[in-house]
Order: sequence, then structure tokens, then C-alpha cells
Amino acid sequence: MLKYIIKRILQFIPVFFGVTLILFLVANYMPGSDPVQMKVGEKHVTPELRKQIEQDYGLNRPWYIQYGDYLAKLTKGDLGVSISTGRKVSDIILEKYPFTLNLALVAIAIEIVIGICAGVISALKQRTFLDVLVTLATSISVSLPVFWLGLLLQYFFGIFLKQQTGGAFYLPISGASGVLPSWEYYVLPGITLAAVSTAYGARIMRSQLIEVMGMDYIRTAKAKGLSGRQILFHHEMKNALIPVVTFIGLDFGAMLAGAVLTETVFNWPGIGFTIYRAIMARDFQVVIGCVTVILFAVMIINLLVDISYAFLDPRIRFGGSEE
Amino acid sequence: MDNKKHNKSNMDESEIKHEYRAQNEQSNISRSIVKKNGASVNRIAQGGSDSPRELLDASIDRKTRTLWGDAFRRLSKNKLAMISLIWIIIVAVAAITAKLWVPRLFGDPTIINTQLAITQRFSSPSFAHWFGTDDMGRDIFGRVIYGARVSLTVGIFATLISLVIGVFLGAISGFYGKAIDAVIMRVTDIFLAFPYILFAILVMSVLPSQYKGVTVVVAVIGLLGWSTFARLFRSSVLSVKENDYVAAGRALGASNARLMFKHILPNAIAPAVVYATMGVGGAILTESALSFLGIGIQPPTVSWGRMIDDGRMNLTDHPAIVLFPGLAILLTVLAFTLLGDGVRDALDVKMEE
Repeated sequence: MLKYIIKRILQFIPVFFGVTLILFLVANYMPGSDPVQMKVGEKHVTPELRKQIEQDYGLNRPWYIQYGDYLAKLTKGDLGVSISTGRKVSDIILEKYPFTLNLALVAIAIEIVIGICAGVISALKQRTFLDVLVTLATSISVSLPVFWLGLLLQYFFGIFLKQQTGGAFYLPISGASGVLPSWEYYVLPGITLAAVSTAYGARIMRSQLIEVMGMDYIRTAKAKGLSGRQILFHHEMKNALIPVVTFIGLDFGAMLAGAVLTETVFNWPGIGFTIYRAIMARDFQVVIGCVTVILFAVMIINLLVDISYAFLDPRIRFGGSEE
Repeated sequence: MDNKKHNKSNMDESEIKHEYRAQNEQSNISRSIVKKNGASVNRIAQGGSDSPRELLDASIDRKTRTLWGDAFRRLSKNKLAMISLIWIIIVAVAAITAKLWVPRLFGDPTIINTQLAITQRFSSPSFAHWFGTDDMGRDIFGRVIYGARVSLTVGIFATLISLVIGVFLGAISGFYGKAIDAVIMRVTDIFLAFPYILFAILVMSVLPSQYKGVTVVVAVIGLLGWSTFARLFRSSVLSVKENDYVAAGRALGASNARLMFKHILPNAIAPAVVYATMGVGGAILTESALSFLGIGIQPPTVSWGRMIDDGRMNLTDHPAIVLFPGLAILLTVLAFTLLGDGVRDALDVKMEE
């Protein structure tokens, strides 16, 4: 167990350096882009200004010194300063992340409830109309462009419904004020963000449950006369849920990343929308800083999920390695 | 004596003969391969009952049935997969021939005509404009067809780049093992560690806009998406490598390159092919997302994602501008997803038994 955790953490080290190196290279040595220009946004760079910026940011030093410098700053939480607002990127992120986190939690809740239910129903009612319906719905959901789904929901629940009911019933389609906006603001962005992963969750739940249902110990349980419900909750679900829980954990990371599109569609004031606005304003420090933070959040969540997987599944705990 | 049931569908003709000969030379066990109900069965015949010559003829007899032939036959019986394939072909033909007929029938979708922008702005779907027109008076149907050119190009070529890089690295990694495997797999870990859409967003936003053409989008998506292919192909190489026919080939003195290309690759490629089919849909989604964010394909080139972004402003009164390009993305990606499902079922050896 301990050996597995240590091994997993050791594997994380090269990944950490690899990801930071790629981030650093993209930010400074992208072919066709000019690191000096990136420090000032759209502004015209005169030769004197260029010298000044190179001096200030140490851009004329060799790349490995700059990379070391970047790593040192990263460990201190220094992600640079926004060109357009002059604020520290780390401050912007601290201000925006609760929105992204809350939305992701809502989406995870939707995924757990709908994804698991749909998967279980479809596994228990194999080859019936319901099963076909779930399979079809999941195929469509995984093929949906997230931003388009968001716009359709906006149109139907925010605009069409409002027109039809004369403004009596509709759901808000954009933004949220205050750190904890009221529940109706979460409905549409939450569904949008959850759509794709709910479909994958349902598929995994279905296939896992079907696999477990064919196991010998389920036959034994039936033979000793347990009721269908007892078998489902005490034997089948317990085992089938392990990979689903892992998937949902990993998905939480993916949702932080997927937030860029959903938040852009709904003007949701989280990190994703901040990235979008920074792209529009060519405020590269903010883009790179936010992407860096999300990447690390994703990587750390994945690491934690892997470790908790070992707690949940004895086969990994005692088996040693994954391959 | 090897009595276990062989995974025959994993071998093609030459391998079977190869192995047959190798086995025959080394021991006196003759083996017949009999085709029964689509699945081949191994029969161990002790010397004397059948002459080796007849057995060889029997194995040549089933020349018409190969792994890919069988798979294609099964695929052609899958209705959903066939509908998907037909849809993809229709979209592809429309996209390839678009320049010949779209400008003549619906006006050039890439240029903004100020006169048309005033006279036929936001017209509803009609016989002249099947999907209506957008805020610039451009025909939405024509633009959707033009958008297919970008989406299919990016989807197919980005996936091909990922496939080639992934298969190459996965093959080296799985075949040679040891240190080179460890190095390649650590690099793969790095690329698997982050959601690649996020990195694509970063790279594309850093690039100056004059570089944001189709080629660059293809390259960025292709170069970021290979890690899953590498993992997948490495593990299938690892399992195929253990098969007897590879050992037989090696015993007969085949070079590493020959073993790789003639024996391992054809038998290990199936999972990568399945993943690639679905991956085309994924690449189309990524491209549309980048274009929607304004950092993918730039106007005047038409792309579905950019069309949806343009239509956002007029969503309240003219939802059709957003609706049609989105439907085009959904149906095309869905077609690749379902075709991928079909290919997976058709190639899955276990399904046959």
C-alpha cells in the first residue's frame, strides 16, 4: 500500500517537470510568437522598450536559467501581473476560483445522480426500450459540442420559455453575482458542464454492473436466496461502483478544464471565463497563469484519485503495480 | 504440445502457414485449421490421420477470410454504423465538391457583400436559402457546407498525426522495452496528465493570429493528442509479441523490422484503428471549441465553431444561425462515434465466440 503510494508520487515528479517545461516553452519559445510582445499585449514595441523589457524580465538569459527562475516563482505562487488590470494573477485566481469550484461541484452532483441512475437502470433492464434510450442519449451527449448545448439551453429555458410564459417562468442565462448566487443560476451551466461526463459515467456504470452481474459470487448470493435488492446493493453496486467513483474523481479535474467553454457561454465569472477574456484582451500572463493553476489542480486531483483507488480496491493494494 | 485454443482471428494467412511449417519442421505434430461458423478451430491431429499436404491445402482454402475481411463483413451488417458511414461520405463529398456548386447556388460563403448584408439579412429558411441567412446576409446552408471542409480536414489529419506518432512511439516502446520504454512512457505520462483541450487553448492563444490557419490547428491538435494512441498501441504490441507466430518468425530469422511490420503491426493495430475512428470526432469537437473561442480558424475561412460564436449575439431573435452549424457538428461527430462503436464491435475477437 505504502509502496504503491510512494511509487505513484515518484511517478508524479517527472510529470511535474515535464508539464512545467512545456508550459514554460509555450510561454517563451513558441515559434512565431514574441515573448517581449507578450509582456506588453498589443502595444507597439520600440527597440529601446524591447531592451528595457528584456532587462526587466531577464529575457536575454539562457533558457535553463529562465526555466529555473520560472520554477522558483511558481513555488512561491508568483504567476506574474496582468497587463490589462495591473493586478497580480494569483489574486485574480483567488477571487475567481470559488465560482469555478462551485459550478464543478454542482456538475459533479448532477453527474453522480443522473449518471449512476441511468447506468444502473440501463444495466438492469438490458435490451429493453429504456436501455436503448440511455445508450442513444449517451452517444448523443458525448458527441455534443458543449458550448452549443449551453446556447440551446439558454435559448430554450431562458428566452423561449420566458416569451411563452410572459416572463413568469424562466431560468437565468448568464452570470452570477456574489460568491454564492442562488440555485437557479447553477441549473443551466451545471447541466451544460455535466452533460458529457454524465454520459460517460452512465456508460461505465452500465458496463461495470453488467460485468459484476455475471460473477460467480452473484450466482452464489442468488443461490442462497438473497432478494434482488439485497444482491444489488450489498454485492453488485459495491463492486461496480469502484471504477465509477474513480472516473468521477478524474472527471472533477476534467471539469475544471472544461469550465472554459461553459463559463464563456454563460458569462460565469470563474477562472474559465477569466481565461477567455484574457485571450480576447491578449493578456497572456493571465492566460498562462490560469492555465497553469488548472493544470496543477487537475494533476493533483488525478494523483489523489489514484491513491484513493488503492484504498477502495484491494486488488491494487495487494497486487502492487498497475500493469 | 500446444493444446490451447488459439486466437486465430488475430493471425492472417501467412502467419498461419508460417507457424504451420515451423511447427511441422520442429515436431511431428500436424495441425489443421478448420473454419467453422466463422470461427476457426484448431485441431491437433496426431501424425498419420491426415497427410501434412492435405492439411496445408485446407489452410490455403480459407484464403478468402482474413481478419479485416471478416471485420468488414460484420461492420456492413451493423445498421447504425452503416448509416454513419453513409452520412460521413455524404458530408465528405459535399465538402470536397463545395467550391464547384456552393458559390453558384448560394453565393460565396467566405465574402461579405455589403449590399446583401442589408437586403437579405436574417431571412428565414426558404427555397432559395434552405437554412436562412445570417446577420451578413450570407446563406447559412452554404456556410455549413464550407464549414465541413475545415472540420473534416482537421478531424482526419489531426487524428492521422496523432495515430502515426502514437503508433510509432508505442511500437518502439512495446517492442524494445527496458530503458527506451521507460523514457517514452514517462513522456507519454506527461501528455496524459493534462486535458489536451486546455493546452490547445494555451498554445493557440499565444500564437499570433496570422498563424492561425487550418494547418496550424491540425498540427496543434495532432501533436497534443498522440499520448492515448501510444499507450494503447504499446499494450497491444506487448500482448501480440507473446504470440507463437512472432516467436516462429524470430526463429526463422526474420529481422526486427520484418517482425514489426509483417507480424506485430497488422495484429496489434485494431484498438488504435477503433480509437482513431472515434478520435476524428474528438478532433472535430476540439477544433470547433477553439474556433468558438476565437483562437482557432480565423475568418474568412468558414468553420462551424466560429459560426456558432458569430450567431451568439443574435441568439434571442435568430436562433437558426446557432442551430444549424451545431447540428452539423453533432451529427458528424456522432457519425464518427457510432462508426467507431461499430468498428470496435466488428474487430473485437471476443464478440465472435
